[in-house]
Amino acid sequence: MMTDIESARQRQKKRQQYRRWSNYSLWGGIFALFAAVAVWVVYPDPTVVYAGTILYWLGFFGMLGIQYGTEIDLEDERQDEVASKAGAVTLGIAAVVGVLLTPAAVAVDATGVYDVAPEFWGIIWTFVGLFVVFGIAHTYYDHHHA
Amino acid sequence: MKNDVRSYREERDLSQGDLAALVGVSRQTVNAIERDRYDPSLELAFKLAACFECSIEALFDPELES
Repeated sequence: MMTDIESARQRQKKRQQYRRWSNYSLWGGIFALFAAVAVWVVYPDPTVVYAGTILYWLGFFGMLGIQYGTEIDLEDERQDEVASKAGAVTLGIAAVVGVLLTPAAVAVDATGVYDVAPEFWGIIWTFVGLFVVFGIAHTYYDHHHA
Repeated sequence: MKNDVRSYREERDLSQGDLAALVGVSRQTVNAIERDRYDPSLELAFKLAACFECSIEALFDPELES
């Protein structure tokens, strides 16, 4: 295996290059969207914002294309674990906020003490949607790893 | 998990980047393993052992309590 070091280095370089392209694609798309909105402020033609949105989508799909189109894994197992733990913490915080705030909001809204803004319920339903997706994904992977 | 990855690597005059390239992970992952901050998967542990031509037990000490 020690003799493979040159090809391993090449593979590593390729991986870093693909990661860079993937990041450039996503950030290029985000920059294009912001630039389009900035242009739209001084030149309020909706076509400008539509073009920015399309460029953003292209950047996003470009990133996905690079990540899934290459035979090299762009993330290693530690990076996957970091992402997984960060996701779990985010979900946990969302759960705590949802569990604490929802009954309180229902109580104050029902008693007329305070009119809860419709946007708040929108956020709560978004949380519910996320947890439904999480539940489905969890069940799927639980069955496939059992 | 305590391990001797660093000493095995240095014995063979490999940089963290070279070892990372050989086993297909990032340099940061090798660094995290050497500093006992990340426990590798079984697959990665086998790859490291194969790279150093030793057993997994020689490389890692799980410090199991009997």
